[in-house]
Amino acid sequence: MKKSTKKARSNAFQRSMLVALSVAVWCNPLVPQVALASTPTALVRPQADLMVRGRITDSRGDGLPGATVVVKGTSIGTTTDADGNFSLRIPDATAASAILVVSYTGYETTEVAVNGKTDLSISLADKTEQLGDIVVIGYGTQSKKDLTGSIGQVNVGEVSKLPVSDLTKAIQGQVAGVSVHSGGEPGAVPQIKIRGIGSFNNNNPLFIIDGVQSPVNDVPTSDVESIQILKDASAAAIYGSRAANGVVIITTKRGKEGKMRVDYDLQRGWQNIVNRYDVANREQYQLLVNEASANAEPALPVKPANDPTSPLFVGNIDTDWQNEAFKTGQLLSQNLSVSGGTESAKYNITMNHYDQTGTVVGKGPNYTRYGFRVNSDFKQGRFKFGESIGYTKVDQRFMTFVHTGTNLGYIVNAIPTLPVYDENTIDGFSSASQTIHGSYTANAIGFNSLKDSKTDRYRFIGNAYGEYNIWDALKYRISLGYERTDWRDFNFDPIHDLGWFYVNNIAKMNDWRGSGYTGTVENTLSWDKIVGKHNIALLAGQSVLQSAISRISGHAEGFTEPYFPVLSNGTSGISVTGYEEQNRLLSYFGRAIYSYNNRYLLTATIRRDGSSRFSPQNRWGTFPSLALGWKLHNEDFLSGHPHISQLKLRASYGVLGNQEIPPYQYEALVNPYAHAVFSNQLAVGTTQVEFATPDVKWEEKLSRNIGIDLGLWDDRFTFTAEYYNNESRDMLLRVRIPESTGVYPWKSPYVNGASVRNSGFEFTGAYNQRSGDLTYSIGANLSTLKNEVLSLGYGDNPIAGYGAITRTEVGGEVGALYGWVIDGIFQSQEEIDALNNASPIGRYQEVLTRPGDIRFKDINGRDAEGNLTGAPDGKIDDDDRDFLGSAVPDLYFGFNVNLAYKGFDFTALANGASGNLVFNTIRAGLESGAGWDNYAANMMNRWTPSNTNTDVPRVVMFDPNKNGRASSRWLEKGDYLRLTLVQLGYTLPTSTAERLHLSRLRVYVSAQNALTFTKYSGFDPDFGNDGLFDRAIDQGNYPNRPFTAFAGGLPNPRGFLVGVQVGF
Amino acid sequence: MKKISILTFFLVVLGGTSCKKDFLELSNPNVQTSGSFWKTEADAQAGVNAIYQSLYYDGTFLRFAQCALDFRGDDVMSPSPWDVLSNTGSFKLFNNTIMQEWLWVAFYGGVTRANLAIANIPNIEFKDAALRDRLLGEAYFLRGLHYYYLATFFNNIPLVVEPYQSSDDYFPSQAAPEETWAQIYADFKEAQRLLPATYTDPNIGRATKGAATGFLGKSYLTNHQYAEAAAEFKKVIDSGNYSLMENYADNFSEQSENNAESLFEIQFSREVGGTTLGWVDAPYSDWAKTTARAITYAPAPFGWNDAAPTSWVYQQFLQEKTVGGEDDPRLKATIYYNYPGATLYGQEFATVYATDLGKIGVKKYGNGDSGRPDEKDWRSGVNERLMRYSDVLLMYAECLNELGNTAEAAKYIQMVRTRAKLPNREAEFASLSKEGMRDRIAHERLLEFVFEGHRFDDIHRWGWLNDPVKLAELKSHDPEFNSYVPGREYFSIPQLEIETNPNLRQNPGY
Repeated sequence: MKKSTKKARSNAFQRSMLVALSVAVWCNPLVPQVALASTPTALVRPQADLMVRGRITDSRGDGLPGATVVVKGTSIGTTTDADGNFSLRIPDATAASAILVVSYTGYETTEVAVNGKTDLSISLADKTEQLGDIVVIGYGTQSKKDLTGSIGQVNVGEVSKLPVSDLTKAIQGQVAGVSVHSGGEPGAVPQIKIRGIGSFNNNNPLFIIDGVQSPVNDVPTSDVESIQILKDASAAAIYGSRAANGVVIITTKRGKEGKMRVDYDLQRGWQNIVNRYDVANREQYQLLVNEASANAEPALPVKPANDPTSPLFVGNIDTDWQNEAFKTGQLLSQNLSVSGGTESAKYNITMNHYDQTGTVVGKGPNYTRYGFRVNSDFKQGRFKFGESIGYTKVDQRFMTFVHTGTNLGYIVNAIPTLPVYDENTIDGFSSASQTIHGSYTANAIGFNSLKDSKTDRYRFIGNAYGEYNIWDALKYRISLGYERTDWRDFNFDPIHDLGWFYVNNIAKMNDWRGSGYTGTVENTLSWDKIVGKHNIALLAGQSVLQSAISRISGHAEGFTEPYFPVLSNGTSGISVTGYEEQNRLLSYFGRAIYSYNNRYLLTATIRRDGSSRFSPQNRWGTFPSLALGWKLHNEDFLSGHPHISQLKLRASYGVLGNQEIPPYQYEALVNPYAHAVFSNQLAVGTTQVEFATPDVKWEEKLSRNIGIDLGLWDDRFTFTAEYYNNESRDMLLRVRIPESTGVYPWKSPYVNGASVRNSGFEFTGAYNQRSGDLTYSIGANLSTLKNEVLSLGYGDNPIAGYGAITRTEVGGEVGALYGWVIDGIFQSQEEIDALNNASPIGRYQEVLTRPGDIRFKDINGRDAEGNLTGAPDGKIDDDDRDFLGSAVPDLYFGFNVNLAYKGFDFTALANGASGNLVFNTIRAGLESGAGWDNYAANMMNRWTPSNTNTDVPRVVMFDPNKNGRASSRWLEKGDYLRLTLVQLGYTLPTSTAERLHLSRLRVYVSAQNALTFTKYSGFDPDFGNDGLFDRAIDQGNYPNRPFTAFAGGLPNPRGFLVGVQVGF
Repeated sequence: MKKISILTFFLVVLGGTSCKKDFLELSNPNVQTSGSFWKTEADAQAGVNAIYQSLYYDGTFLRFAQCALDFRGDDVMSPSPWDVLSNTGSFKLFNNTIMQEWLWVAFYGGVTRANLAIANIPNIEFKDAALRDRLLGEAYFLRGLHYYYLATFFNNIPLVVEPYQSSDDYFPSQAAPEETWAQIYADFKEAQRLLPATYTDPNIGRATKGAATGFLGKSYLTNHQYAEAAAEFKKVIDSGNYSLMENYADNFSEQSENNAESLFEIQFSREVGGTTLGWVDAPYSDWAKTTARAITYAPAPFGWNDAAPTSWVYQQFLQEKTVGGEDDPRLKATIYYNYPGATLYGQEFATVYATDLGKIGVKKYGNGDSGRPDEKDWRSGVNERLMRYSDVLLMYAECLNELGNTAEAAKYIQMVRTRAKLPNREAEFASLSKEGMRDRIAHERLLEFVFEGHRFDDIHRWGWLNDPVKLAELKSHDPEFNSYVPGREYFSIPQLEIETNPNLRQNPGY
């Protein structure tokens, strides 16, 4: 009874394997050419044991040394020798039906039925070969050749070579249509955008890690098996509600059948900030600042530090703050993984450690991560179970500063007449004096050395699934996902004096703690069946999601030395605050994938979501999509074509949703914290200080995509071209309402306030070739982006950003630059007087405009009714501003080159963007010519009565002409091309490695960001920004702290790295 | 059997996760909805208290309102390296600076809160009708007060007197200034009608009938309606509720707050908790109830030195000695300067400023005598006196003079002088011409109110900015007037506000 069941099952299994294999082979010429090439030998009569010999080769026929060969479902196995040969004795009981599982790092694991043959030739397919890949789609997988939607795949092999703490940073330049921006400090959180600005509110795509909705930060790159980016509605609609910004599906590495494998990787690196602003030295600074004081009306006294006649004159200090502040950062990364398993139980366990110190003197920024992950899969009969559990602990220190300010800016504009250190002060750091130096200079090195600002973050991402094959091809699956992050943000500010404006007389600390979780339960039924020429895959599912955040924070002051910064030790100013929020989502979804005759493809998807973020009448949204594909290469007129191995056309159309606004926005709330004081006691105050939009509803994105996939010469050359045209409608955002409501702009109510079109072409091409011992592949991707605002909230009023220098207007682009136009420099008072006399108000620009000031262009005025005329009116005012350029790159590109020669391998990655302007705020500060902080060196070329042939205006305190106003003067081209990685590796021959009792040993050296081609004068054209209305603004830093306060960003460093990878 | 149990399991899992109807119904666990508010007496009290809280913002009296009021006078200049402050006093602000923007949003925040109270309180059932009247009176007073400052800062402003019903209401046009002032008069009148004359603990510091009357008079005076103004000031004087403090300095310390001379003051306190300075934003539970005016104005190295008296005003104080032959006691209460025994923040003036003995710095409203070493913890608990009885007396004198009763005016001037221990010159002043009396009042007001936010409004009201002779004098007192441009007696409408609300027009002069 038992035996027959087993036999029947095994027969059935064999049958299905054969069907699957034949389908796979038929569908996909690149799937390993299993056994078919083997020499037919006479059927050997079953004996006690079967001796099987064979050779494992790569797709070019070269033997693979050290490949693992295991008899499926047993522990019988071996590894290949230096030439890829193996021999294996298979016991009689299993010989007839034995299946060999062949695996080798970097190649697809392959199963081969022995079928009584004793001499096998097995060729393994290279994992990097693209079009044959199995692609992870939402709630399933699909052969890439059958895709109808737009899915970008990240080459994880390349990406994992980049020395970055965040996975998304590694994606930069890898996939057409995906843009990533960020600074380069340890733990930086990049802005990732898929196909332009799809949403004004939350532009981040949805990250699904092993089926769990989760933040992607802190996920170790080394754990990742695959990254798929779902770009269009057809691909993403199964995640309907949350997919408007695209979906990134990340799968972590799982165990494979075979003997236990142990791998250890170690990487060590050194990083530096290489660019510098060219700032004035002591003599230049003193000359400029004194001249600016003299030019003021009335003239301002010269500060003693800059006055050679004063006893306090500084003549012997010339500090280069940038060189003092920047140092070499260190990077250490190590990963240990253990994996293996049998047919019924597979495991992959990893441990990793990542430690990166920043490039600035002081306590931060640093980023240290410890993580472990356990992924297992179990199979028994009709059941499958498994889990993936990852846990990381992150210690992140931030570059510290007194306010939310541009730390880098403060390093750059610090005055050269002040030393960094001063042992006579209370804290050991020098301090600018208002009366002696006048400058606001903050000792940024002192701040970063004295203050503590750090986050501890603990993140659990876990998924458990169970699958049951109910009947025939019908499967039920339940998946439980849970992500939980606990964090603690800590900030301690000791007593210090770091400049006259930066005095802290009372030691204080903040301790913020919080946790958030997202839990999901998903039930799906799937049915996959091939009936004749019909290939059908159906999916139906239901999902429930709940997420919540809970925060408390404590503040205490009056700590005494020696400091023990624990809340209880505060002696005054103690306060506690707390906050709670929760949201839920209930969803139903279905999908049908159908192909006929392996030529005509159809994918239809629908998802219906209910969200707690909207009022009952607006709660539900429905998101359908439809996609069609045509595999021309399987048509008679192309099949067997000598060159064309693939030609597919595809098109999709669908609607995606977005609900990512904070909870409770549809209801107007009161603020219970508006307390007053009477009789010196607190009097509780409550009132409404913000407004709601009760009818706020789902944001929708209409997605349209067409694409062509081409493969030539057995797919040695592959090329994909796509065009998308997306329209986001009813976009959720806080549209600034007039402040006459008393509402601060950032508290403006959420409305479905805009629609925007993004369109673009995406091209991805790759060429792989092998000649002799040399294998190489070259890939490139390029995408264009056109962004157009179709409507804006509240009657299409433009949205002004960052001090009104950006303006988002209907018909224009998001975050376009806006300001005055420069018309030259006034050379004489007569020139100014003539314009003043011609002005209707007796004044062309400002009352104290003088020779050497910038003359702005008069381009607009108003008629008697107050309407703009479009004609000059003889005076410069706010109406004379104009659009100055685009903040959105119109071109993104990425390149990759891989070479392998014998044991050597070489990788180069590059990416870039072009077509955008950047507002350089640090330069604007250095060249304002109007204060006591340091100046740019090129201000030595300022206008003076004797240096009139210049475009640099005069220096004068407080800038009475407003030379520093928003104008084209501060805008620079943001175009760049950067070589992000060059890596050269060497793998020891297997025989040598084996002598060391290793299965593998690879060593490598890398150069990170070795070359950047750009005309941008700031630290880095790839800087962190909000990605929206203020994306053009390079503030020298960008708030990157995930939960609470701001912290300084740093430019992307140049790095040198060495590494070793060992397999046991 | 096995199959059934598996099916049961699926059904349980599916059934358990396909949820109840109210699964998606989540309400905010932190605060209540505005629809459930304004139902009880307690709601009304809390709603009115919240209007006062708008006076604690950076755009109101945490800092910027004082800077905006004081720095433009010829008695005050700003040596601040921060152009937002130094350009305020020299009429050179960019249209997009936070000075105008924060004034605008914070004062309008008070208007919105007052509108909510005025619209909702009449619908609440009160057991205590006197409480309802008082609360409504406070709301009217505070709305009038917020509009008073908005009108003097910006002149051409939207006049919103109802709660916002829909997003269409967010975009008002500017009202004619006369219309705005008519509303201010009406609000103060209503407050005057409804408010009590005095309070007892724990309500000391709330708006009184006297406060409403004083501000009504001041509003009339601002618009040169002297007869109406005089009538109101007379009411205050006749009420008998106010008198001048014997010690002038008592008006600027933490010790004698809400004293007999005070008509209305903003109640700051270091004792009521809160650790975060409420700069700008929706209020939060950890916000302090203190003002940063002291650190802003205090001389270096005790504060930021963002304000300083002009040397001209210092000289003005020295023109007349007290009957005892000493310096005007108001000088010592107002300005740090070098006199024998002068101290500040526990240190000898002559030691701190040994290399700069001519130094003059701001003392008024500071904590230099409090025992604290400096102002650098940002927090001052000194109440901001928005209107003192001496102001009422001098404004009344001004009305009398303008109405032709110059002799009577002299009496009130001397009352203020007498408290400052200056000689009795009532008879001499009584015989002055109307013009002469104007100059005398100007001088007396100058010395009485340095750093109290009145000087620029006085200059403006007296028409000096349109008088070339007077304007030249102002420039000689304070070179910051060199960059004055006609029209800039009002601030620019914040640039971002104009960008956001297309119904607004920029003020002339910008």
